[in-house]
Amino acid sequence: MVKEKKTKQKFEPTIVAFCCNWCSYAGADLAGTSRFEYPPNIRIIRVMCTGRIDPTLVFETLRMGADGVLIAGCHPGDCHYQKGNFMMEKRFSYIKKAADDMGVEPERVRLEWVSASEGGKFTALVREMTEQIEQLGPNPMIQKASATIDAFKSQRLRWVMGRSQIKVDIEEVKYRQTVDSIMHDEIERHAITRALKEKGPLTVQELAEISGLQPSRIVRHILALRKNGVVNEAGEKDRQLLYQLI
Amino acid sequence: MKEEPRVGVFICHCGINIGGVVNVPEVTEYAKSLQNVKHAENNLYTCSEAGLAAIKEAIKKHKLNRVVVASCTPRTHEPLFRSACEEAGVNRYLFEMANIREHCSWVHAHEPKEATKKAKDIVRMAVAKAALLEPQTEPEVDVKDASLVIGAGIAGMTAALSMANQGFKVHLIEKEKELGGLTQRLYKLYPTLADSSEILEPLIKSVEANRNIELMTSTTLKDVTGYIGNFDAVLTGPEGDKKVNVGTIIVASGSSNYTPPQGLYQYGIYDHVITQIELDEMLSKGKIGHPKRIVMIQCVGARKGEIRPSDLEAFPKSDTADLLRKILKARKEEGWPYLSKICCMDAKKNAILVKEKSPKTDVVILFGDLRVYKEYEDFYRKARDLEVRFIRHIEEVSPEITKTSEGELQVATFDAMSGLEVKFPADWVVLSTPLIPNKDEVMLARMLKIPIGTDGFLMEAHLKLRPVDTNVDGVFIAGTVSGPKDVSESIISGEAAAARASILMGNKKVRTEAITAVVDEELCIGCGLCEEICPYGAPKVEEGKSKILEILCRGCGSCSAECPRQAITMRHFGDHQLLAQVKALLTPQA
Amino acid sequence: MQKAVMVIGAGIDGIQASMDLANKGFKVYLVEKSPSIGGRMAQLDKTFPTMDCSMCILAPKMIECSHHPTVKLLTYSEVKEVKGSPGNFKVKILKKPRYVDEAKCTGCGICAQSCPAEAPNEFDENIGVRKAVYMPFPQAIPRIMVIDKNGCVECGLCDKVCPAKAVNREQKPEEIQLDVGAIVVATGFDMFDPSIIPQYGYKRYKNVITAMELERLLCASGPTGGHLIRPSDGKIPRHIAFIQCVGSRDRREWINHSYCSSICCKYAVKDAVLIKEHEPSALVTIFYIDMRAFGKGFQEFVNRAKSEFGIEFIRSNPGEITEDQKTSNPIISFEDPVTRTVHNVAFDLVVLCPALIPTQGVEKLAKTLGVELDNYGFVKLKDSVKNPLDTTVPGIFACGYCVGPKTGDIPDSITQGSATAARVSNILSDKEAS
Repeated sequence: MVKEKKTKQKFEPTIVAFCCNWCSYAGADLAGTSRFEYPPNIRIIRVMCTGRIDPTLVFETLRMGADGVLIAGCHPGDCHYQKGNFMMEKRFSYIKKAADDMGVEPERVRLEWVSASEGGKFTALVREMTEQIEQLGPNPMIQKASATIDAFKSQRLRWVMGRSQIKVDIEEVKYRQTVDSIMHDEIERHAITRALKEKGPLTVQELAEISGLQPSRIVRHILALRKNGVVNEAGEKDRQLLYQLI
Repeated sequence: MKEEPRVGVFICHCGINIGGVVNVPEVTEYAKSLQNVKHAENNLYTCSEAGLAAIKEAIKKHKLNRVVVASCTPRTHEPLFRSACEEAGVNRYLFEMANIREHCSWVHAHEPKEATKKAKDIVRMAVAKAALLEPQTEPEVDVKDASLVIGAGIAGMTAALSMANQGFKVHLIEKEKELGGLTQRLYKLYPTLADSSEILEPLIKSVEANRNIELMTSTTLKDVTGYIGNFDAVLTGPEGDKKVNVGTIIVASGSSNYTPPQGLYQYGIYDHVITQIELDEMLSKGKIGHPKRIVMIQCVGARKGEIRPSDLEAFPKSDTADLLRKILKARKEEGWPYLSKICCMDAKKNAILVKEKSPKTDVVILFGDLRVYKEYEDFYRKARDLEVRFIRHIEEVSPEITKTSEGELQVATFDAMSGLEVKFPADWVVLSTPLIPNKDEVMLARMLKIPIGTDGFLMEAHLKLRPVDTNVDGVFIAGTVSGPKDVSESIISGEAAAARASILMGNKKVRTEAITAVVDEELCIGCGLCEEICPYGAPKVEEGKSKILEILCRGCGSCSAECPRQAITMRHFGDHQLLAQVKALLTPQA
Repeated sequence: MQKAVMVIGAGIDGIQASMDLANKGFKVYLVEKSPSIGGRMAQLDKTFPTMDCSMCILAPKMIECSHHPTVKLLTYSEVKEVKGSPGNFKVKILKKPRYVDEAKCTGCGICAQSCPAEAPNEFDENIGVRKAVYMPFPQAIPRIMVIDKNGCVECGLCDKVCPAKAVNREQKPEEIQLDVGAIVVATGFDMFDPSIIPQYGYKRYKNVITAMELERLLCASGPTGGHLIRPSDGKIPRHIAFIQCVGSRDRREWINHSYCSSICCKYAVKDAVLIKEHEPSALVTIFYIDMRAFGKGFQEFVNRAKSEFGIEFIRSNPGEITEDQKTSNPIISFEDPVTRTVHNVAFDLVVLCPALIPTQGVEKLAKTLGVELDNYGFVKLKDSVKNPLDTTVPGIFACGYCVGPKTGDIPDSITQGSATAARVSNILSDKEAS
């Protein structure tokens, strides 16, 4: 009985699109002017340039329940501000990695290039994305999103991501590996600090249960957080030390 | 003390453009229920005098301090509504638009229920952002009363003269040694059949004589920095580099005439297969004589399969070739994806010229579709009166050129009326080829940040409303650089661009971007990332903190997205404002 | 005749030798390969049998030494070449680049706070992390940061935030020439890596650690602030076992440390007592072969450990350690010395006491100096009875653990340090050398 009801009620995704004023927003306008038609699931938010889009915006949008996020900018070389879209492209590789690790399907978070004259492309893109996400179902929202958002707000991660926009002075592969490991560390550490903030002092065991991380990994993070002056000991519980935010 | 937002929402029917799909009254009632909304109404045409008056009245009556207009795209009417707000005492930047036409009613025309729901969402998002908007001031900058015109063809020279005659200093650069551009190669111009030199010579003389015009031939643009009113351009010529400072720039670098690759219609293989422009040259030198028959083939290069990406060898490995390849690939067709518009007239013109000189010559024009517009219909009739034969052939099948055993050219094609094959022996076969983008165009586009359309020509700011403006404030386009035009159209566009530029220069001042970056110095650690990222050199780290020179900031927001401390906010597009829109959409009740 | 001496190695023995020599009026070049002086003693929590805080008694000596007007510290440096003869050695030193300008750096640590790159902390035996730009330990001398280029991602943030503008990423190694009359070798020891003994599961099982790792966990300035937690899950261990003679007294060819390392029994008992002091409810067992508790006050210490602290001593050398996968508890398999039956007992934490071996690089150094090494790789003495301070090269002396276990403890090292100072001044005086 329940199954029947499910198939009758079609899932209608909500897709948020960040479109840049000069290219993709204009492309979407052109789709309208040309009277193309596409599914009504998309909501456009205007920005001046895709370079504007902070990774935390993408994850906040997912965390708040969007089933998909589309970032649409100018084709490489056409950015009104010269290289905003290039920076977005590089930034997107980090966003994508974090999203993949969170278990967010690649069809849900996309970066595409749509020029002001590509009303048709915009239309096709919206149709494709809506259909794909319809198939996938609602966004399986993951608590890790909050930790991911915090990680992408951290100076440590933002600095190494930002540096890669300018110049990488060591071997690219090694740099990227370092950024990825910093990303993981920061996401996991923020999950820990978040748990401590919300629930007060916790043991390694409790943190492992809440975060789903291996206890030995929690220990590793606790030692680093301790060294950085973020946590310290707050007594004992069940033959374990309690840790608290300083 | 932050004032409490009092938002007014004005929903436009736009005739039936919106109202015919979206239930405007329903959306209006909905708007009234939103937080911070003190007034909501709907109008038939909000952009009309009545509509604007209604906004101003409502502002006064309900003491509104934020305005949302739900109608079309901000890219056209935002300035209009902003001015209305300003006139009623509300800062221009306390205004937000909700696009429920291009992004809603026009694309969901058959789903009125969904469209109405979507319109409500869009309005809700706009109201949420509006509540967080803050007044901004547009800094005023001086506009230097000098202009740079790139290209001394018909359009460029016209523009230069127009501005010079108003007293502005003009730097006119031309990459060739001679002035006149593509028009030089033309013999006579339609529809008057005036000699091209009749137009060119006086123009060139005036340009050379005008004291306000600094003419530099064999000179190209090497680099340009700056912003509206204050561009610094580096010109490079035979005597080295030269720096000029101008307030406006007009791009009139023209286009090229497509030369068919060898083999297409036997061009380059058989001697007597030439292009229209080559025919022009022969006519001007009186070299055509009295042939028995001339066959003209239209739309050469514009038909499927006639231009393959490999044919772009005509353009050596360059940005243009890459761009054109991209266009061809994207269109999944072969052949130029636009109408070159002038080739039909060109053919007729030359046909008439031939007939006038040599009435006995049979001139046949093979066409797929005849594109004759404006008053040129009369010109077409004139050609017919002179017994120029117009034969419509089946478009899908290209005419074939062969040589008979006697060495005579023969054109074979299928007549569209009868479906029968027809063969013409011909002395000359003339190919009408389109105008295509110039080799230098891509480089100029990149330097000036002007986007290129899918047809390969420079894109104007708005197809309908702003045909000589570009997206870059202070930079205008004229002539065939933005698409095929005939001589009169080029002249007109040159004048138009000059007019737009001189308004700016005449006002001496212009208000620039208010959407700029702001640094919270308490958070800033002076890491300098913003300084290294910014394409405009706006942020500079001084005494351990980033200071942004607002005049240079174009408001792209990259610094804000990269700042490790999230210490930079973009005015009018801050994270909190964007997030408010997301939140209003996804978790309205929160 | 140069009235200058080079001391290689700035552990407590090298520091003592330097100070005595300096106080005798010699110019001393104290060369140390790591970025800070202090050696192993800096890593310890407390010293046996007095249970003094190690750093508290070491730090004043470090400061005194570094401030002495005739002592020149050459840290982060290595000896590259030695030529000449007693009284006239010509030495080439290679000073490795810290990528920090020593004259400008104030050791404020702002760079380390901002540095995004983390790496395992060698001083903490890789338990905790440090940044790519770091101070080796809080009391390090000289108080100058150092950049580890392997971990560094060259992001340049340290440079931007340093108030003294002391970062110099282009710094090159510096070659320094020294003229000295005598050389003292005091290169100390390393700990044998027990992972070569696969039966003990070191590195495979998270809760099998070495004694030095335990020291760092117990140390108040260590990665856990002195709280003993076990690596796999942060639990406070209750059942702790020590296994003595891991690698020592081992005749197996591929291990080749058939000697007794002298100090492991002592420090094991010390650590056992420390653990009991931290955690009175803990149950500590020491698996030993012989309890080598020699030295002043030591047997009394062992007796106290048994009676007062309830530490259990089992004379048995365990054959194998396995792991309870669910709890990560290591399980020791050993033969009961009395009943001769094999028992498998699970512990929360197992501490291996590995053999102490010659430091890495001693072989190369020996070649550079021309001194001989014994068959264990320690610096060979001219005559272990008659000339227990001379190496096989005249003018080059040795003290501390680099010559082998001896008694091996701190007082012993200090004594040897002073003794070599005497030997040096002997040969460098106008009187004839003996």
